[in-house]
Amino acid sequence: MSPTVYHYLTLSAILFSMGTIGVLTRRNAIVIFMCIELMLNAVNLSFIALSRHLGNLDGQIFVFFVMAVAAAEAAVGLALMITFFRNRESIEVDDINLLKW
Amino acid sequence: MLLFSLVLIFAAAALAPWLLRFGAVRASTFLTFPPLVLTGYFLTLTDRVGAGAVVESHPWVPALGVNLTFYLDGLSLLFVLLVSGVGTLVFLYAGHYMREEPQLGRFFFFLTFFMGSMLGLVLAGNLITLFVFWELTSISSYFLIGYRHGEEESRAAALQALLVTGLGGLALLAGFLLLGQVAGSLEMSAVLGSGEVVRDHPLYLPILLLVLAGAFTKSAQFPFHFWLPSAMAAPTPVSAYLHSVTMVKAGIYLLARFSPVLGGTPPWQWSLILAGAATMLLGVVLAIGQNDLKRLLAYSTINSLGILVFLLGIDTEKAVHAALVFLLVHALYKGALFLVAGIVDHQTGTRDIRQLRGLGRQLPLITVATALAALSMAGFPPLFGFIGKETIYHVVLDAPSAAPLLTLLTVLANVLLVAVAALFVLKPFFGRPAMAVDPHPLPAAMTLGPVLLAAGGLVIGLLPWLIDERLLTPAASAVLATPTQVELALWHGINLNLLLSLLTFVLGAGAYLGWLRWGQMAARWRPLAGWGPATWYKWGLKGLTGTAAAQTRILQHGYLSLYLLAIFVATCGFAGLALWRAGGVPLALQLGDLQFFEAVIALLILASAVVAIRSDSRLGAIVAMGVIGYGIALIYIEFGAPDLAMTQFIIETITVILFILVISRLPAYAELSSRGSRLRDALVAVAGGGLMTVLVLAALATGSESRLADFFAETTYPEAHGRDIVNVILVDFRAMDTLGEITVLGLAGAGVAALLRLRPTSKRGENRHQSQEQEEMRQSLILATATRYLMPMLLLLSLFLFLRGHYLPGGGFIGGLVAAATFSLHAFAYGVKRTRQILRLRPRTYIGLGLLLALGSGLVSLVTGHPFLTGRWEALQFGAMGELQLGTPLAFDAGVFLVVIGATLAILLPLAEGD
Amino acid sequence: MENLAQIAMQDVNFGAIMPSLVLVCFGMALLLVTVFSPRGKTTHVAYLSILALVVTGIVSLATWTPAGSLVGNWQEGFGGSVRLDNFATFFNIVFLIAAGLTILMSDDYLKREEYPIGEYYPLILFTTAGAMWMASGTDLMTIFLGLEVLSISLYVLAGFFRRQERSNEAGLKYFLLGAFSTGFLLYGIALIYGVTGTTKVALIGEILANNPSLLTNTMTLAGMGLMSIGFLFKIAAAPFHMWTPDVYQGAPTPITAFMSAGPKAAAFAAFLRVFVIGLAGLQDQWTSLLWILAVLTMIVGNVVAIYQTNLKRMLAYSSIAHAGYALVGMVAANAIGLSGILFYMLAYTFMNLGAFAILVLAGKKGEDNLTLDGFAGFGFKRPFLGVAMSIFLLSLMGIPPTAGFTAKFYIFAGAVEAGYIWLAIIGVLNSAVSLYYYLRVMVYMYFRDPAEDYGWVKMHAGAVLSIVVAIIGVFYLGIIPGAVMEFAKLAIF
Repeated sequence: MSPTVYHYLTLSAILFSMGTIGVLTRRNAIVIFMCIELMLNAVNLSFIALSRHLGNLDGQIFVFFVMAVAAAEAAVGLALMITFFRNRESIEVDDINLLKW
Repeated sequence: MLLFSLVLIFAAAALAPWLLRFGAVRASTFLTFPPLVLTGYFLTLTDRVGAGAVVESHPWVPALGVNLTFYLDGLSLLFVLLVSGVGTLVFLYAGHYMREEPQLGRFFFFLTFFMGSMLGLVLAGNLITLFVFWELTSISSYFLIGYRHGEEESRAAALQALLVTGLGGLALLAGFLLLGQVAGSLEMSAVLGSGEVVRDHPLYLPILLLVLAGAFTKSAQFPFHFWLPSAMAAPTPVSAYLHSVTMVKAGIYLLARFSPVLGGTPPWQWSLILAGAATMLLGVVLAIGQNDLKRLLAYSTINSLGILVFLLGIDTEKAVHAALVFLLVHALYKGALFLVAGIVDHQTGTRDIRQLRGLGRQLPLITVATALAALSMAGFPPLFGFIGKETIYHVVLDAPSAAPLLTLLTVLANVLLVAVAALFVLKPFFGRPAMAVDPHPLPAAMTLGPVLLAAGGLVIGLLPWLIDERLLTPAASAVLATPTQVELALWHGINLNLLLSLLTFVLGAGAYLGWLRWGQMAARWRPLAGWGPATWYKWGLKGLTGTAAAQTRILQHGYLSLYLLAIFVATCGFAGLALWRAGGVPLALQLGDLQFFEAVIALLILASAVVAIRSDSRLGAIVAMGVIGYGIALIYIEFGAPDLAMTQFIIETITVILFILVISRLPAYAELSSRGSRLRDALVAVAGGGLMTVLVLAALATGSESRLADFFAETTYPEAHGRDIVNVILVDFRAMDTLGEITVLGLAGAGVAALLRLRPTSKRGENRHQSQEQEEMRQSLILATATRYLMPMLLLLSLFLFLRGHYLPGGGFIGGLVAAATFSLHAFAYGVKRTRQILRLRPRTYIGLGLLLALGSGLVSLVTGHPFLTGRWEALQFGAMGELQLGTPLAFDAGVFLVVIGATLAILLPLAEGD
Repeated sequence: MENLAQIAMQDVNFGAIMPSLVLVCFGMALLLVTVFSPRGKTTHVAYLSILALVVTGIVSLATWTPAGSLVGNWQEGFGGSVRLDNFATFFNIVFLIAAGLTILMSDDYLKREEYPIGEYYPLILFTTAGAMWMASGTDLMTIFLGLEVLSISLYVLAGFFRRQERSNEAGLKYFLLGAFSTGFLLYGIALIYGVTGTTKVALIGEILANNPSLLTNTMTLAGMGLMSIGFLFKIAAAPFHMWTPDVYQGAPTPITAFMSAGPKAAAFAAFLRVFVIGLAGLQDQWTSLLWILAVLTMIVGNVVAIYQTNLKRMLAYSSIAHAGYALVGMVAANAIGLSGILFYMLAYTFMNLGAFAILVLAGKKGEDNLTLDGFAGFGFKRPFLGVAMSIFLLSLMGIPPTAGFTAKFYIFAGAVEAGYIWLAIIGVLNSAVSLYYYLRVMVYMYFRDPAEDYGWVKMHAGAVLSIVVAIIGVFYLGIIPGAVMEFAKLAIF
């Protein structure tokens, strides 16, 4: 049984778009960030499928890096959100509006 | 040598502030020497220049073919002598005139700096060098006009002058770049030789317009004339030097310089004649009714600059001669008159011709000089001005077309000159003395300037052969690019010119008499003048700042969600563009051979995604994210990447723990945005998301056709001592990228520590209390017991995963993650404090040790003669238990193991500690 | 096909990552030093990080090959994923200068703002190492990794002042927007990988050249478009620039200075390598896109800067405009334009860091005084700083004889040579607009009476040193740019 590469690429595209929709419609920084993670996961799916399709391993290696990087990003991002929350008592992005013009 | 003369002036400029310690008079006297020496030096060059241009080149930016080239021909020489000769007199004058002003160091620095820039401008042998010096004159002029910075008027005038001339200069640069492109070189000698190529080129018109923009702004031609009268806010020596004799003539120099290249065509002639004529007329109209000596001179300068441009536009041999003659005439009398205006101001404290009267008795020598200069201005024989005017009349009468009209204009302009000259002499110096005058005698240094300049007009008028052969002929030959002969004579017999001159005097006398009455009339027109280009300038400036403000408020609103939207919309735009370029959408959604397993996973993932992006429950969203992550891990397994799946599982788990820990301390969602904005976002997002999906699907439909898979054969790894792809690659093959990975994790740990280590001091006590309470609450007995038994097993598992990493899925990275997950579980069960006690060392220390180990193993390879970070294997026999291969990769892996533990905990523990 | 293990053995090349390796080692060691240092003491960490930069600089210079990239013995390593050619080395030097000047001005600044936290310096070193990977990476993987190392460090550094709301906001905004644009970049890479089957930049170029049908493939074009977003975001080209002013204003001032020079140069380096080599076949497509974006970027940056009264924010907007000028060189995509970008990055590093160093010195705690009014009469009260600031502003305007002029000239000459005459003219006109807001600072410094007492400006040795170095750089590149321009010419592919 060989997984149908094309189906997974489609799934990946839809997931990616859903991630962007989430980023754009949500107002909570943490949820926005979770949606970004969703986008990255979607890309990983593409890499894996393409790697299989092309028969080389570069895609798999790439996925590994993306996972590690995403984890590190999550850590730093959450730390930033916590410091923000400590000072502002909020984590809604519409409150992130001190710097403008 | 030409370079040296510039260096001399700039060195003097650098010294100027220091020289001022010895007093203004001494300093300025000292500063007169460099220009004096240069005047002498360049006078000795007249014969050499008469024989041909002197070119001197120093390499500057060889990569771009830009050289520091100097080019001295007749035209340059004429200007050089004006700059250095008049400069000498102005410095001498300024030392006394400015004696009591503050911050003279700055003044003399910029004045000297200007002189150097102006010399550079007229000596430049390369378009870029010319532009550089061109802008430097604008900048020094800016500082000199704004010298009395306490006055709002000075500041505004300085900025206005700089903006107008600076902008013109940039247009000039654009023109030069085009010109250099067309001519194939930026060197003056090459450009001057490629006139035909340039004139026939399609870019000729843009080049012409850009160069004219530069020249017209600098030389105050209509409609850019308005900065010049305002610039009279500068101290008088500056007005005399920059704004009548030298800087404003830079535009004239430019036109004359490039007339062999750009001239001789109808666009050139018409634009110059029109601009020149308009400027002439405008100078006349605006001068009427002025009562300030300096402004009067400023408007007559505008008039004269108009005449010069006009003559260059007529473009005949005689016209060029006349322009050069008039240039010199104007420099001599206008320089003198400005300096006199300064003296009058200095001695009486006013420049208003309605108040000035009868100064003749106090200042006899100055009166004589003024009279001579004014007579030259009015064009009386036997002064040089007469010769100048006669040549001009000769040219306009013989003009190729529209001679009567041109003649009329010229006469009108000269009438004004007569009237202004009369005003300037008769009003202040004659009549009953009724003024309080500074009793101190005028210093000789201040008298010298006007007297010498005015006397020059007389001497040349009487003995024109002094200059026509040696100075003007080479200059005219340079402008016309063919040998020509300038012959000046005072007396041409009785002819039409002479009659016109007589008419000019009569009308001029009438204008003088009617001055005051006209002045009242002009005062009524004044509001009309307010609608001129000066207002356009103001509006332009206002419009610019207004646009800027509006644009800023619209674009930089500070709302993150709209920033995100902007990125997304632009992205969709790009994507749409790509679709359009590729020509249509070959969309082909094939769901034919969809398999059951795939369908289930896909549905699970998509449903979770919907929950994640729509859910109002934070925990729900996190769990949904986790499900997506696990679902994707299952797909990895299906694709034959179990190691990746394993990593994905563990990372997803840790991430979920992380999110739960953090989110439990943050408030629930708030509904801040309005329904409308959410609807808008949703619409854009769905439309855009749809577009993205369609695009990607379209892309895949075409992309999957390419059979590139054959290009890359499947590869195997028999010799890398392991079969786990990712791990082998990580440790051996892509050690460098691994280093990067470790760096990412290490710096994430460092970053979190830096951001969270110290809590806000004000809340510390309260927080500690709270967090203790939380920790107690968290200690569930079941969890604690389970953890106690689970922990050793999990740690063993992590060790196992770590050791077998080279054969099967696992390795330092995954082992480390499992260990870290174990410790975070412990922290969850027992509280962070206990976990820290178990760990003994701070997480960051683990990171450091791990790194040292990893790097150390790399260095061992290096020392033993292998490339850095490559495998170095030694097999250890364990009897019946088999063999364990020890090698630098294992040490490296151990380093990774430690780093991952340290980094993960450095991240998790601070986040888990309550605050 | 060779088997991978052998490739692994042969291709690992110690030299190819030497500079970044030194930096990372130093960075990690400094993290340890920080752990064992008494709280609040960071000066020794600053000195050590300067030492790290100097050592790295020596290592980098040692790898320069005078013969040029194409024929020189450039060092390639790690399966062709890193290549330390002259291009990389030139950029490495730019990063090192930017980092060095930043660290010099940081020590006293951190003390004044009461954030003496040692992690600051290792984070800067990591950022620099990330930048180096971006410049020397010849594999999209290496470039992505470098980009992320750089970005994550910068997220932390931008939000470094934990108790300051502005800094929090800068960090969080930068983080969310940066992560979002990374998603697009990554998808673009995936698509390109799907088309060509490789992530190696040179190989991508080769495959596209050998299969012309791929050039019109929707997947290739979409991949190019998505990939460019990640880079355009980092260089702050319009319309991906919106984060710049907010983040630059909120971040600690030395970090703002650093961000405007180092990471921006790194993004340009990666952008150039990927597009000029990897996507050479699509040059017509991306130049037409970048033409529009360059114009947009210059206009947006300059026009919005006019409105600013906060100097940090003003310099942020102006940095957008400068990215636009540099993009002009990329549109030209000829030898002069490309080496012009390199030169521009170096010149911009000197002039912009110099200007920021003055803001660092002139600011009071909290930095509310870094406005136009706060600078009234500054030139008289602080003659040295006033003159220095004027020099940097003139250079930013592009007035000769400063580095800013030669750099701009270089870029525009490239555009003219490539036939983009109107682009060059638009660039020149934009420089004209920029005169307005740069000059206004000088007007306030010299033509306004001091509004307040300037007695508090302490001339800290580190910041003064960085100012002096920047002045030397500005004049060196402005008056005798020949040697560096030759270097830049040797450095392009």
